[in-house]
Amino acid sequence: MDFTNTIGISAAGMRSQAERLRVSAENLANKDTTGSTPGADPYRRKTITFQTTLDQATGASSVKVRSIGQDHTPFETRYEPSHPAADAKGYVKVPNVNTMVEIMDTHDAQHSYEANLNTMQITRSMLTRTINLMK
Amino acid sequence: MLEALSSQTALTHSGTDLFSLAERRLQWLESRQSVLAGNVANANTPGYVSKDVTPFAGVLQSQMTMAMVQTEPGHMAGPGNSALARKTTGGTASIDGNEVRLEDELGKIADTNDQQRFATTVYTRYMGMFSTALGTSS
Repeated sequence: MDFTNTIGISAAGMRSQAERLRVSAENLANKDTTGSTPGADPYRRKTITFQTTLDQATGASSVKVRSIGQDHTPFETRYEPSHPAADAKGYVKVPNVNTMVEIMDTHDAQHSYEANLNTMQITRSMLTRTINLMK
Repeated sequence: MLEALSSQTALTHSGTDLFSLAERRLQWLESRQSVLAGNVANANTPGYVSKDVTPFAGVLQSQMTMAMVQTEPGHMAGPGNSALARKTTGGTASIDGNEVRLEDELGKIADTNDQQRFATTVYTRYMGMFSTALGTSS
């Protein structure tokens, strides 16, 4: 057990949350990305899951991104016959991105990121105090 | 780092061995901080249950007995400093089975921080008393 490892765990948490923020940003940016050929599928929402990793040397649990997957919720359709991606009946498939869900996810990721950052700062001050014992 | 500090503890045989006690306290706080940081990092991991280390009083008792030595970095930690998974009170798990409450964890971290400040202050003051006895300025 070492404070340096502890800082590494907080850094892993921040890395994971930053990745989550990136996926959420991708989803928000593509919330209107439809296909370009008739009947083509639009952008499919991406999902991210985390996984606990056990640090064998210290027995402490860190975290990493398990996978970035896809949301298989069916697409909604919108009647817009003049759209290049409209099918024979004039319906266009729109992405399965829910703006509210993405915004909540972004907020949650930010809070978790800040919690990890605070933990890292406290660990740093503890490390500094330990070093100062040698003075 | 802490091992280096404790090299002089053999000199103090009279009274309470504050150096040794402070050192063990600091080691325990160090491992607790590591476990708590793991809890915060896993605040969004599905199925993760928050952990804590055995209380310091328990660690003191277990150190009277023999502990297993880690001779390889790949070895699991012995029972003396093992983090024990402790189920928090039921019914607070979120939909994905995660049972980390960030507020509780940050509270524990602040507590660990305060206790570490206390332990280092005690150590420094005790060291200052030695300096006074030796006639050197502290």
